[in-house]
Amino acid sequence: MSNNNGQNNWGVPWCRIEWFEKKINTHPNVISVSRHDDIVFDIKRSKDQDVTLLCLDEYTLGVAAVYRILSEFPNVNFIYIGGQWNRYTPEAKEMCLEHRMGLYNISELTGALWRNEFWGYHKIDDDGNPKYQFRRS
Amino acid sequence: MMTEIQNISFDVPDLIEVYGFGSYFRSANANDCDILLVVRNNSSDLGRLHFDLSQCFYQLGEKLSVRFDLTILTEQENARKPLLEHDILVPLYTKK
Repeated sequence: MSNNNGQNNWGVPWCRIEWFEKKINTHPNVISVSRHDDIVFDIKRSKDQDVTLLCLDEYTLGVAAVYRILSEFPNVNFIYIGGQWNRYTPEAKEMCLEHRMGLYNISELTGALWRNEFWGYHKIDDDGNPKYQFRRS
Repeated sequence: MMTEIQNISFDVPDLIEVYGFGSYFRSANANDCDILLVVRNNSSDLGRLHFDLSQCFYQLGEKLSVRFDLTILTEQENARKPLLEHDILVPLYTKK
């Protein structure tokens, strides 16, 4: 059965996919991973609900991309945007929260995968407030 | 390249600003070309617009042998200046 791997139209290079696949397989709460459509990972976790994750490499992910993802990948519930230099906009984060969809870069990935309700995970700042991966010039 | 980008902008009414940034605009040996596309907040189908713009620039990249790395933001998102390079963006197109 074809898994449609080998190419994607989100410009995600193989080196990023390969790196992520190795990374996700080392997470202690992950028991199995399968990849299809080149950049979609079905992740079974030991205690918590399954995750369908889209692996991207986006410098700054905005709402237009989230709308496209909802249309192209209706089963995806977790968007991973890549390394810690990659960020998302507040509007994109808000939209994902409304859809109970995770939106994270690498600095948040490990923590989110420990949560059953993974979409609500966030780091906290020194004052105990949510700390999201937004960027300002 | 400027002409081709302007042609894309003419063909896509909801694309209102195009900027370049990154190493492609600072040196002759860049691997890819970073482009910021600003689209209207009230575009009727932002997801489709994202797909269409990605396809346009993929095809242009094939033609010019350039790998485009797109960032697509709405006007509202862009107003927050979410790129590190916002103060040194290279204007390529602005819809009048």
